[in-house]
Amino acid sequence: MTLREKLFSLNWLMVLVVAGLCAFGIAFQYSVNGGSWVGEAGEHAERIVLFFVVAVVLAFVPLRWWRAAAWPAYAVSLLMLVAVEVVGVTRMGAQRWLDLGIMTIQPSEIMKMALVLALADYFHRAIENGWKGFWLIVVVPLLVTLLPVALVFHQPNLGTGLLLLASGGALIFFAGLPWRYIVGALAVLVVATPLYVLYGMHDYQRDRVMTFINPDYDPQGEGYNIAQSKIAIGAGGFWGRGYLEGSQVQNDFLPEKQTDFIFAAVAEETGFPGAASIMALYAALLAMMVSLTLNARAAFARYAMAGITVMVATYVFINLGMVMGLMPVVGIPLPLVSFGGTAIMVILAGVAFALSVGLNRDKKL
Amino acid sequence: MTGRVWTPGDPDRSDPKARRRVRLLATGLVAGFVLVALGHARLAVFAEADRPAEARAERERTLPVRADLVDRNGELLARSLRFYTLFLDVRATRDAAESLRRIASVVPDVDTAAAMRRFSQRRLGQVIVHADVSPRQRAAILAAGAEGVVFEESTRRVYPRGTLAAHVIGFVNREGRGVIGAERAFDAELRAAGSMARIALSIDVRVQYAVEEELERAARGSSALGGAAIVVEAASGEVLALASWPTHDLNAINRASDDQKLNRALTQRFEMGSTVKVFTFAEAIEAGRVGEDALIEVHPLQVAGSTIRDFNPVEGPLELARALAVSSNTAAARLALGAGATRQRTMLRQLGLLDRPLRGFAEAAAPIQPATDRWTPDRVATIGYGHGVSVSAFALAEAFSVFANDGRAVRPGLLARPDGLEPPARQVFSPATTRTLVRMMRETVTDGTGIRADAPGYEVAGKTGTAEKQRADGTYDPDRQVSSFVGLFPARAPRFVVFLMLDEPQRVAANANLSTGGAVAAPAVGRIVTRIAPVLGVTPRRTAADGPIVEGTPG
Repeated sequence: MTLREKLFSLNWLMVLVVAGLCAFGIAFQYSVNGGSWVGEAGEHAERIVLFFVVAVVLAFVPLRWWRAAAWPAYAVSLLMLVAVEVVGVTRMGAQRWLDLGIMTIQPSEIMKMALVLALADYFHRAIENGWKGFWLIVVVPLLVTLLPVALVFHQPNLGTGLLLLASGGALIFFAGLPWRYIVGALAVLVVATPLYVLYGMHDYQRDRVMTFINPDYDPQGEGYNIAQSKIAIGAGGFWGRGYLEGSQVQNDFLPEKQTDFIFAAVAEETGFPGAASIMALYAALLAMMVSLTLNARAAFARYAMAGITVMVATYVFINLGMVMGLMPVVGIPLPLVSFGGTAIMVILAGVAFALSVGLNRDKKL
Repeated sequence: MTGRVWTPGDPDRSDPKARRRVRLLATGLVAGFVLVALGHARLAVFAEADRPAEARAERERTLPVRADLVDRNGELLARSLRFYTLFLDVRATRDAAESLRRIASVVPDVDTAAAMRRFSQRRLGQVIVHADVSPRQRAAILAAGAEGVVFEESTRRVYPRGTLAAHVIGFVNREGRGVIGAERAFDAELRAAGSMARIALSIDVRVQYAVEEELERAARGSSALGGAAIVVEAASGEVLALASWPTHDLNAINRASDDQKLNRALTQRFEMGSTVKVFTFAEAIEAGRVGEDALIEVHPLQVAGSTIRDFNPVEGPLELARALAVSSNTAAARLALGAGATRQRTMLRQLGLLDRPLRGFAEAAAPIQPATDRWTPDRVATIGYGHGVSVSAFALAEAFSVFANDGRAVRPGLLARPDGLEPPARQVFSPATTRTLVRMMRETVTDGTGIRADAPGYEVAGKTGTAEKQRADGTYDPDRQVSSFVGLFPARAPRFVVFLMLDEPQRVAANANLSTGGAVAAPAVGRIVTRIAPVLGVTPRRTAADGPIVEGTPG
């Protein structure tokens, strides 16, 4: 395929959908910034446009390059997670970030993409080589997943750790983990967790678990955030109060409005049309990703797409559920709309990979 | 499905099992979107309530307007004041410099430059201009025609009398919740009553002021670590004054030290020493084991291997009134041993000395007492003269009020009692017994350790207390004492109890190099009585000042 043909067969619909989400993000970063580009809104806009362009360019990277990068990326991410542990000792309170001079990055975010690619490559090889049995198909991939998960939990950052566990677990699930293991593991978890929290822990440990689940654990504070978020969504009603007109948003009553609670700002100012548009854009993006998961030829592509789909879906549903008060507060942003650096970069890398899979759907690897 | 779980083979060939599972995932995604769409609709479309109003109510909920606290005569002690935070709405302000100039004409201390800088950084929403604008200033700003101003209402608790009754009143936290004192004990009532109502404490600011001044004078004069004083109207159980020194300014609570905030009348517990002897004497007379005219031995006695002696040994035997007047430990120990553990404990409990006083006041400490099965004879003897049970100053004043109340124990409180409402009471001693004890305590003041407590014409009766404090190892330290005087007046028909206690008073020349209750606490009580009796409607009887007690009606 020539570049011209490739440009022609690129999944422009997906590019458009992602551009739509980024546009929402830019528009509402501007709104929650008090109608000004000065500071975070401008920073967000510059960064997301740059990442978006890079993602579209990355779409033309051949699939085997992605595959070749999988394990090195995993290894480097793992090393960076260890480095965060070590450097984190000297830099108190900033254990999640690694300062590379040009920008600070969160290795745990990069690991999300690297883990998915590495496991996809592993299962591709497993099929190719006829690897069989519990150890090779379950235990080894599980170890590959749990190693970074343990490091991320230790930071502590339960939200990202759970996301990693979800993507890694999803790949093992799609590789054909028998239901009896799934049901068994779920049963043990469901029965043992509450028992352990209730009877196996001291009070202070239980408090720690709560703090672990939510680093800002504080019943009053947390209740306040959710209450303000629900009030903002309710205040918007069906048609919304108008862009830049939300009283919850513009008068600083909505907490964390640039990051975790950005959706409440969208809902207050643009009502159901705006909220439904965002949901529809995510639905379209995820539908296209599922389609690639089903229709790509190479096992590597299929598995990686499955992991990326689960990753994006987990972000979206946990964030929306939290903002609407359907879930406890876990600090997870709304991908592409919330303010953020590394998280946006990783999501757009997933999009770039999906576009690449789309271009190479029938390629053997 | 084959019996094999994992199918090896061509990585380019689609796996039907994985496809099934991906479709399962897709179904889950659809369900997820339906769920969040419904979640949004539930909040935004189906909720009927007026959301902005609810939002406002939600924010105002955190700023309760508390009722006023006043004294028994309606004098203001605490009030919540309205104030406003002033914002400029960015889009409603065409000329911010002009608006700020008009605001500054009313509120001169506004930082115009900072507000202007914040204003220029935003194109939406509001910028803060001033954090503390009074209702009057707000009206003036609106009248001055400042464009784009937005006021957010808040309340703040102010204490117009500053340090007065600081420990009784207590204070509130930033959320407007009571932290300690009456603000905490009556928190629910204060919040429920709202800004239009007021809650009256039993305190009388005139009495409180005199008590605080004399307590401070006595504490400073003896270089004590601290002190406490209490005045109770016995019949109603109303606390007219409760003071703790050192004290603090309620309007600057952040600058107060823990030592200043400590309520020494409620929180600290001491072995009160000789003041407890009056209860031991009363029990013995009430039970009929000794008559008023009986003689009692005062030579040292042996109990469970230890020897009990008097501080100033005298030749015995003595009349009961003399034994009390010279504060004999051995006499009190003998009377306590005659009663035994059970009767002693029952009496102390009926007097309230074994319970936590003052319900609702979290800072009121429960007494320290031996377990019931450890109430051994040597403990009975020492408790009889005031060692072995540690109580708060408040609890002692409460117990002592039986002598000013014909033997009835009333649980005192800090709320003003409506006129004519009889408090629940329990008869602990007969009126005859308490009259006898009052006569004996009058002798303690006219011719005993409490002689410096006398207030001419007001017939103070009472008892001194000087207790050595325990060291960490349990032995007693003669150089660290708790010195007190508990009194009542007027002796002919007692109505009021005054208790004053000093923690570690020093032996200073002004007090004849003494630090005993008779030397440092009794004079302060005498001065308090002289100052508060006129306020309380007690008229002096000049002719009977040093004479025998005459039955009669109070002034």
